[in-house]
Amino acid sequence: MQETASSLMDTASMTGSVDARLVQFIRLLRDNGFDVSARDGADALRILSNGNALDRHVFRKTLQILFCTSPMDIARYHEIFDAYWLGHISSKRTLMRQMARAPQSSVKHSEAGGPASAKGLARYFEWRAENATGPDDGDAPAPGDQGDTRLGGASDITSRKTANLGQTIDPEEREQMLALTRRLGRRLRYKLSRRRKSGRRGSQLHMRRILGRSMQTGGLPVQLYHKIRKRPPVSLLLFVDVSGSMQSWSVFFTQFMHALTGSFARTEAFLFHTGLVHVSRALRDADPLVMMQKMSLIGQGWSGGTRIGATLETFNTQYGRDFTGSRTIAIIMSDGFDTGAPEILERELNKLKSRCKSLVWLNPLLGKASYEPTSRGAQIISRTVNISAPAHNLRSLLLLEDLLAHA
Amino acid sequence: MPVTTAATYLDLLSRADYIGDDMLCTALSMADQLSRPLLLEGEAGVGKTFVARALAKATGRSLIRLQCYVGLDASHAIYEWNYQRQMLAIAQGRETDQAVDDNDLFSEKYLIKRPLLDAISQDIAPILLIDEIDRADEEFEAFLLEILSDHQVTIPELGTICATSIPLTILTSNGVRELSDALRRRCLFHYIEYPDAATELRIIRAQVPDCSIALAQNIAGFVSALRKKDLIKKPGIAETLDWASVLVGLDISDIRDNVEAVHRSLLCLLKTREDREAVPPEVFVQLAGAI
Repeated sequence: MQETASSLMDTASMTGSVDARLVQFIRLLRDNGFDVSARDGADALRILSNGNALDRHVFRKTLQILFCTSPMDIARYHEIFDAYWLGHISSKRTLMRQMARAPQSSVKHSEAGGPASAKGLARYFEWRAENATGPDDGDAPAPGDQGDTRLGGASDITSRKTANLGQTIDPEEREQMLALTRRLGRRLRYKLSRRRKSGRRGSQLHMRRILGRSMQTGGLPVQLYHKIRKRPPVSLLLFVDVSGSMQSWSVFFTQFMHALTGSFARTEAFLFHTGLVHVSRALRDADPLVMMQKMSLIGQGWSGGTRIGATLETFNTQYGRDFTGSRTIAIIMSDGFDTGAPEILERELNKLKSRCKSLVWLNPLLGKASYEPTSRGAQIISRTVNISAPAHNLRSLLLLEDLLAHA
Repeated sequence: MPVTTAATYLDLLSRADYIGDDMLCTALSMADQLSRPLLLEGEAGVGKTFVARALAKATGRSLIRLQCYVGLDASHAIYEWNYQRQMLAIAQGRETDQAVDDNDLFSEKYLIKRPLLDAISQDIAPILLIDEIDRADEEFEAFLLEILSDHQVTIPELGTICATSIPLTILTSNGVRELSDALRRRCLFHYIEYPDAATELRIIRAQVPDCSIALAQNIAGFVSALRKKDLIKKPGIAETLDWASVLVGLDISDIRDNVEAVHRSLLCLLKTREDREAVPPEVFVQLAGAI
């Protein structure tokens, strides 16, 4: 039997018109980082109205041609298409990501009356999972597997910590993750810049403490205390890759950078793609929305190509002397995909490293088990930096706290 | 206007000896129906440029090609004022005491149409091929946006020139650099993969009619196996066709018969020293034997 798009929807036990399903599918794609415009949606309906795209394969192809804009999109598109239209949801990462992203406070099973009643697609998938009657039921996650975690108020933060940073879309969820990031920033500041306690050794006597303690022994300074030189505060130097390959991560990293800027007195921040943009002043705005608006204006070339070596060369030439020092920790947040000359990248990284206390590379791809730094840029960065750490979720950023404390 | 289906394009392309797949034909059909440009991406030599040529040949529409390169600007791609003629007109006006009016000076009379403006000024919609867009500077992409989305060109001195007919626009990219989101958003997108052995066999048969079926099967199978190896530059369809022509010229009927001569002819497929070294005669025999 030939399977048509309409029959696909019937078998998925869904109600409503093709238009409504398509709009919902577009929203799901947007949630997953696809850049689907209103015109794309209108064009899809126009093509479908011609009646020659109702065969399942043609339907899939038609939407792929409209909604995918790069080769990287294609595999992900098929995954989401299968999850949405064919109901292959439980075996796909899509559903799990969506569920991980669902705001727990608002996810109540009693409210799940159907896809149309749900606020977001995460709830739509929940509804699908609960109401699934097809052969995929066996693969559906058991209620306790996800539901208990999602519904518990105390587990809220844990879930946020493990949610994929690249998939943060919901404003409410983003706000909560941002709050966690701010807290992380404060903790980082405390660990990195806290004073050393006075000890038994040191070049100078700590007279105030000796006199204070000598009161216990009738004025005799039995125990000597020394002054240990206070460590100068750590300054942070942040670079966030906002090129096309980092599209789904760059927004969160920018927010992370914003949180760090608010927490550390001495922070300099830069965005880079094919050029370098100094954004420290824009980041000082306390309102994250205003900050992001400024970023989008400033970051010309956002989601374009990447030339890490050339941008670091610009930094080393123009800003290096002012913004680096023996207490500077430079953090590069990038996936390491670089289209510039590798020798320039290596030279400039080494130059930056020699000027800083520590050079850290936060790579969102490191969180994937199958990831290997095969690109030339990634290989050069990984062998040059002092610390290479994953940054795909908040938990990995919390691990960074310890790494930085000992940097 | 009748709806052009994917089957129509499959037929059109096959008439021009282009073996297209369903996906490509669906994309072309959609580009036609929606009047949107089609961005074709894929490795060099998979036949992206040939799609436009084949379409022009099959439909009889003119092909207007803009080859992109570093430094390409609006004056070479869209329009340019004919300054020499303008200066002559001013000089002539001075001699005859008839000052040339500014409006007259910046009229279509003194406008040199470059490929993009030319493409939207045709009575019959042409095929517009913007080839290797990834070789052009990012700034140039901005020039393209208006013409691709609104089918019009704005000339500050003259105003907006709207398309008299909307060309079927095909952009190709080898992925040398990432294209801007703005450009991608305006285009339909299709990625052309290397063809499978069966499709490549049909392509060889269509493009090199002198090649026997047995030899064409040999070639398609060998090239397919070769692409699975870790090469710097994998052979494209153009290379396969070159190799097929060379083997026909050498009067080879089976690539396993004259190993030495056929191995030497691999220079048609392997274009770098490293790749040549990666396929010594022993590896060639192994790959050819596995067909």
